[in-house]
Amino acid sequence: MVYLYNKMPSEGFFGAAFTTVDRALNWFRLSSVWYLLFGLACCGIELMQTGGPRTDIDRIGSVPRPTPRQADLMIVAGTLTYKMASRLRLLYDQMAEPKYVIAMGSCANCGGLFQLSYSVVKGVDKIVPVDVYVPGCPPRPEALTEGILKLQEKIRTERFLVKSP
Amino acid sequence: MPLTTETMVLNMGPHHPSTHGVLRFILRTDGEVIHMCRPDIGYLHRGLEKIAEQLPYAHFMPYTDRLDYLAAMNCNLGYAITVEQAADVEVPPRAEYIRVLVAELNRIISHLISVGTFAMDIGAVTPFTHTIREREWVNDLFEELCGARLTYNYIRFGGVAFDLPEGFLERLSQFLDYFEPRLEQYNRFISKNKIFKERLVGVAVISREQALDYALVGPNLRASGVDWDLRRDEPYSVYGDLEFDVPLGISEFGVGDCYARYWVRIWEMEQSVRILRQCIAKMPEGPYLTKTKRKLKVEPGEIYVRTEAPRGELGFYLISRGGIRPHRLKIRTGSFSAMSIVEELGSGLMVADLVALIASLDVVAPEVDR
Amino acid sequence: MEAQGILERIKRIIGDADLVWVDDQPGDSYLVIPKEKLRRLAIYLKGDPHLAFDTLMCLSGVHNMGEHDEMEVVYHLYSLRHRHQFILKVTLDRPAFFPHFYLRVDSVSGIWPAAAWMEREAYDMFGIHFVGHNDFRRLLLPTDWEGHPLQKDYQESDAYRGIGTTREEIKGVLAEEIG
Repeated sequence: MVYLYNKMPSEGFFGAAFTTVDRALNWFRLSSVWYLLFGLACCGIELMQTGGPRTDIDRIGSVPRPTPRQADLMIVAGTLTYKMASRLRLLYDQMAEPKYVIAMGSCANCGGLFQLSYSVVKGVDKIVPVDVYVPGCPPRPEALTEGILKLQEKIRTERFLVKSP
Repeated sequence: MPLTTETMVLNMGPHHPSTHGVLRFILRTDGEVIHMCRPDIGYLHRGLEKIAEQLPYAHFMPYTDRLDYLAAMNCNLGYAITVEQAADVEVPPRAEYIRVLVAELNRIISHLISVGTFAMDIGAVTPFTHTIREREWVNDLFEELCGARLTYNYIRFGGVAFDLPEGFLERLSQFLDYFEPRLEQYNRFISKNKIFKERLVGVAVISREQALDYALVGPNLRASGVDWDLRRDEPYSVYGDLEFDVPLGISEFGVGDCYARYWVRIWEMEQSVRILRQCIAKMPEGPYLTKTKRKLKVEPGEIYVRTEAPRGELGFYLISRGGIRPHRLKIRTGSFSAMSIVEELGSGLMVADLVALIASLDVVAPEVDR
Repeated sequence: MEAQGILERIKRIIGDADLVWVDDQPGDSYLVIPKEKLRRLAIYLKGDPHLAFDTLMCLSGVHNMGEHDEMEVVYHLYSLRHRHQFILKVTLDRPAFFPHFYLRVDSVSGIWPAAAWMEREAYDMFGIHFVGHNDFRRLLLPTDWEGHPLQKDYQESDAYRGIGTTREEIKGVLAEEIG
């Protein structure tokens, strides 16, 4: 079965059919990226405001979920400390594939202004693989919305059925 | 054969939608009733006190924003007053009034988030969206004042960073006219709701002696009947010239329970609106900043200064050995004491009552862990 | 009550020996007492109706590495009834060999329960042991952390459980800017 899967046609009638199925699957997935509430510090408040009435990311399909089993996206908002790092990895492992991570804010990107600290992990990408980095301290809701839209662009280019271009 | 039951160890982990930030509780429960509740903190410990020893005084101001991000102006103000008293820096009157204005505005939005998340934890999700909507209005005001929505870094030694823009006071008055009837709306929504009262009246009563023993401060202390507010009893800045009441949590339903702590915050918001109207009326003209050196030198000595932040007394203990960096800066926050009382009060509560207790104490994680 | 009045009452209880009253520098004045007299004085300060220090505002540790390596524990006390405050300090020597035998002081958590967590934090940050505390362990750092960070000669390790502590691309940039 796997042998056949890797030999899916990419040209001709069947190629067109399967690339269209790929595009449809991607469109279904990017239109409803549900995110895991992982607000750790100040960026968590801006995350709440982004889900609030003015900048409403529900209109682009993103709804907050408190449990990792129902989420596709983990927005790490805030400073990660060494004590919390193992929980971050645990929750990331509990999410189902396909899953994505957005690092929101300076502290999640590179440690932020806590570079001098002894107990802060200097960047979330030491623990989990990150897809989109959103800079800011804290980033505006519009910046986070752009981050989610960029993630949607990335999902649009993914391929499942047709592996070769 | 008789049925036996066992107690269960439950982890209310650092990632939880109802704890306010990354706080962890280890519970030993018998069904729904808690026998032992032990808080485990430190998941947001960023070592602010060690960072303070490595930076000049003015460079530490953005870190005080992140100390309690919902009340960033008040934390800035506390640190600025500490260093100004240690270094003998004068503040012009217009700057004093601007500082009190932004501090009280920040108190309003901090209590809004506190009340909104409190209602959300009890189960009423809609009031939270209303309080967030009010907060957006104030975020716009702060953004035109200093450029940031959450962590302002606005107060400097000797005054404030920027002057009030044109028309700011008119827009602030418009906001206050819009906001005052909203408080009555919240009262109709949730405060007098039967389910809300059933969940909160009589839950987790903190007596006056317990509150003093565990060094509770701020609205938590006033809800237990202790009449103590630093703005009135040890006035700093221009609070001595302003008229306001200090609400105590004595209602017809009791003293010191979760319902009293909720009401104290609603009444404090009304008083903050009153203070703001007086500040707008009395705002003097003049300079807004006394220039100080970029790397300020402070005489050797030590000082402990406390101010009233929305979560209670915020104390900065500063030891200086001369030079441009502090020798030791210790920060004492209200949420730290509030977390330490949860262990004693937790036994006997049900798990849902524990959620109500944590929400009513208004704990934010970075204040606990620093 | 004025600070001198409080000082007189204290001297009547624990005597005059080894007490140092410091008030010649700008800022707050404080009393340095030997650590053996701390517990008795704390019980008296809370219980006496004229002093009635019912609130422990702040308990902090300080590390001084001047010509003498020593640590201090500072107690900020306040009385709500009489509206006066007082500051106590206890000095502890820190020799080079087996410092944890010397960095011991009585716990006041039985007198002011607020001190329970504050003393745990002082242990976590400085390594000072509080004798008589009923739940003595680290508070803020993970349980397997090595060292006490706020000591002046603390060295940060290179990695914690495999997670590196620096970021290669910006190493060294911050040190230039602070100056």
